[in-house]
Amino acid sequence: MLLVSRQGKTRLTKWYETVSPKERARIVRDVTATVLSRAPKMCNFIEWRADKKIVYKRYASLFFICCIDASDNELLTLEMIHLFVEVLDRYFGNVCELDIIFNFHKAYYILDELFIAGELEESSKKEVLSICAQMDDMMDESKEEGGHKSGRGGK
Amino acid sequence: MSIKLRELIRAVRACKTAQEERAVIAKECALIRTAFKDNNLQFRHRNVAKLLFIHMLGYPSHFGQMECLKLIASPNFPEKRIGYLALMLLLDERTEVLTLVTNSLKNDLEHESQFVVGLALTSVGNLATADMARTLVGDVAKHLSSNNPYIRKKSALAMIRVLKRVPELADDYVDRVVGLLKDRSHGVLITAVQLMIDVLKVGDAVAEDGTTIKSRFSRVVPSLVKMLRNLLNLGYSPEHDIAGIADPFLQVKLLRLLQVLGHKNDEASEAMNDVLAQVATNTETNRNAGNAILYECVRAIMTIESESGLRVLAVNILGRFLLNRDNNIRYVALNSLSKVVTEDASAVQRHRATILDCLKDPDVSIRQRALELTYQLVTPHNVRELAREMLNYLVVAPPEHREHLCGRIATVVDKFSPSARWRLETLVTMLSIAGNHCDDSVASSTVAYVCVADPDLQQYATHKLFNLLRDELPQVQVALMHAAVWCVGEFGDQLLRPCSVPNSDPDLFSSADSAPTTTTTNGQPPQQPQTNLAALASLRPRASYEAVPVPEILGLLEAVLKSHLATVVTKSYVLTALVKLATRLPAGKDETDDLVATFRTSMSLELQQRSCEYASLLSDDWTHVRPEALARMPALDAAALAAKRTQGIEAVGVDAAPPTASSFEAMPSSPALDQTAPGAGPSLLDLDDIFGGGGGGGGVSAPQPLQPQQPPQQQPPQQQPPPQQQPPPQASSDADLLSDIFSAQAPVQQPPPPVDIFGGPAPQPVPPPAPPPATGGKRAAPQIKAFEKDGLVLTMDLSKEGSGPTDVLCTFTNYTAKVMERLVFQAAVPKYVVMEMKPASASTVPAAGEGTVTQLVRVTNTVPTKPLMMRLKIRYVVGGRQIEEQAQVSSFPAL
Repeated sequence: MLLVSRQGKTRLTKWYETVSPKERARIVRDVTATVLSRAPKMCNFIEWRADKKIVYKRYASLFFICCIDASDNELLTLEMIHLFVEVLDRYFGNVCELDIIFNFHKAYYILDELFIAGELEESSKKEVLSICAQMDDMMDESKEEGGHKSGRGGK
Repeated sequence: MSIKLRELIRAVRACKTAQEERAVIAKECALIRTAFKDNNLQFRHRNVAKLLFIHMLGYPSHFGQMECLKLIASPNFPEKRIGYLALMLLLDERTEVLTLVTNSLKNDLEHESQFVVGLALTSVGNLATADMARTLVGDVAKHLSSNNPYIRKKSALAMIRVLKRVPELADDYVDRVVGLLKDRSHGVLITAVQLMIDVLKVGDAVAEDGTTIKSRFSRVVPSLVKMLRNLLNLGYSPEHDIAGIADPFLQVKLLRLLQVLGHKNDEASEAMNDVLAQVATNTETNRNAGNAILYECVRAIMTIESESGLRVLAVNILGRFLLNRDNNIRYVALNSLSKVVTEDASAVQRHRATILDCLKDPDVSIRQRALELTYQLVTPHNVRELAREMLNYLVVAPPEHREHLCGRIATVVDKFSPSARWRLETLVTMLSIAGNHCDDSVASSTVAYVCVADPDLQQYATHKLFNLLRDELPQVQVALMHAAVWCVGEFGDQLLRPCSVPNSDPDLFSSADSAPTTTTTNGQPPQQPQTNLAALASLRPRASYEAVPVPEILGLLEAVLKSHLATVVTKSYVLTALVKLATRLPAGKDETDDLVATFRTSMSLELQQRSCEYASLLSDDWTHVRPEALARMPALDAAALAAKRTQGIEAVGVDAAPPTASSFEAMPSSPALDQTAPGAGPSLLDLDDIFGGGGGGGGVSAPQPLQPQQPPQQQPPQQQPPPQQQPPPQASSDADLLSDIFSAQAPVQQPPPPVDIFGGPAPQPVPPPAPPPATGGKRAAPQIKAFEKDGLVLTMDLSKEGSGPTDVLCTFTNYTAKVMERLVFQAAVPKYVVMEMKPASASTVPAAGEGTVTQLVRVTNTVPTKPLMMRLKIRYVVGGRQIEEQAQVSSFPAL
């Protein structure tokens, strides 16, 4: 299962199944081409390979794409994507593509709080946000302690 | 000095060309490498973060893997955090250094901070290997009963990964998992339910124990139902609410679990019927979340052993979905309907019109789904309408789907066609629309149908194909061209006479009229609209065709040869057609000679050879053999075709088979018949033959069949049992023959003395099911099932011309799911039989009965008084395993 966001360019990828780097690059290329060629009114599902489906949704300039098993619930997957987007939105405060480009690691952290092994972990936005905030606080604290360490470009 | 991550990103974004970007990355990578080598602690985590960015851009980043491990081992939280992130992104299950992480993970799972434990659990959940899973399972499972919900949910998901990698552990944690259902946190509930679903999946896959896991989980059905009901009745709770629906995620997961538990479990299904009805009726459908729940609910209803009323409700919901304006919902509806159609076809047939509309949707996902569904909906009654729609769709289908679609249409036509004429029209239409894309088999089956058709239809088909070829030549579809050329060659003399439509069937092909309108309203620009529509228009059945003069026929073939579409294969077809026409159209012989001769110097070996050989065949030396050598092809074995068709119909299991095939229904095609009854399969036909020859219609080829019927007592004692087989005394040998045949129907019935059967004009011991009357006056070739074991079936079709040798056509069919390779078939016969084996058609038997391998064995019985017997040895490789079987066939029906 993978989750990719992009606008022609890859902004974030996460693999929940073991795939070799070469294969990854090919899949990303294939999927990008397929998704970008879809007209806006078409449905958000594409049958892909033998037993997989691609579920995608576009938010502003970004496509959020999931690959799921053929037997999974496509509509719910859309809802999961939406949940991720909403959490990002609250976290960054009106998220835009640039936020994700420059803070891709934070987007990954949020993703890890939402999904593990490709399965949804928490349905409450509040919960996810508070966890992320706490972890960020911990980062800041330890930075202050070890004064000389000039952490990564903070927000 | 290293730059910040943000600056690197900015620098990369500022690059105008890919080359510039590569330069920046290469420089940065070099710096990062040096930093790693110098063991620069200060910037290590920043460097790894930069590496992640570089990795995302698709550059190699393997040199940072060890650095991740160091970061994870660090006591500092930011370093740990970025270390775990890098671990999950840069490494995967197959990376060898992953085993080195196991210890760090074990330590972190014991860490006092919930976040560190959380990070470790996340990593286990995302990339644990089987080894890691075994080592860490205790630590992960311990957290299932942590008092912190954050840890509980993470450990539940990590357990999914652990149990997927090491399924045999699943059994031990069943009770612990069930305990999680009492939790109050939605996050834990969702993960627990998901864990249960996955435990059921892996538990079933691993051992018979799956049933016990399922039954243990089944006990919690009431509490799951209660949970779902509470969710439905829950008032507004902002935390989990989406568009006014309480936690759709949890609802869907619960429904999914109920679905798994209720499958094939009456008691559990009974317990959940009410709540499913409640979900189905009370869920709001204005928003996607509601539809997601409803969709899952419908799937649950369809999977469990639900009440019929509930099923009706579910199909109605899908019907409503189908009419929805949202494409997503329509897609989902089509998808689910195709699962329902196998059990409740009539309910789906009601929505046929809507489904056919979906075939014209601009969205390819929807069209594909609708097409699958349409294909499943075809019955003998609606085949005309649906095949027409499928052809219409073929016009607009994208080229990459056309081949598949052609195959589908061909199957439908094959199975359900109401008349020979219709079948031919449909196939020809298909060829003319998509002949460039379809499989060769479609063209050849079209030709085969023309071949077996009655003469009127043959003439009509030839005229039709000829006209199509003439009208469309500049851009004709390749397969159509081949079929047409073949028919013109074969039946060229028919073109000299005008043709009127054999039987005017009013609704035969009105599709062409509707085609242009449907395709233009479609909205999507078809690939080659003009040519295709023109093709459809010209397909409109004409009442009659004019006679074609000889020069025009040859002129057309010449034009084909010159066409830029003509390949070597095409030209070979044309050459063969020309040489045949030389005998069929004496008036044009000179011209054909010339045309054939043009390829004498062809660069293509195949064409040159054909040209030279045909030219000498056309020379005066061979005038006496020419008519015979170039005679019309013998009609294909109609019985074999029909039998194949019957099998197809039975496999589909559709209510009514076409009437033409009904006489074959008595022929069981089940592969599961006992091996001890080799004659079981087509025994009725065999009996029919035996009695037809001896008892019933005595006139049919009398001398031959009488031979084995001589009472054995009157024969001199047999002296020479063939060495390689141990035939029992002759008397019982004949009895065996009979008992073999009879055992399929009435094992108790003792075979009566052979004398009585064959000697008397009226056979007393007619077996219980009376042999069916021979089909339509012509007798099917005697067929026996010579061998059947482990899904491999060998049938033998016997045919004999005059007093010559008997041709035994051995057909191998493989009904297992695996392909059988390297098939070697050997046969031994007694000394008094002369045998000649031809090469087999292939050495691989495709799986699932989807194809056959045939081999012709020609035997001559030099001592007709003795029975024809055969000992068989069959060797093949399946799944890498060599298998060798032996069998003996002594029950050849008399010819």
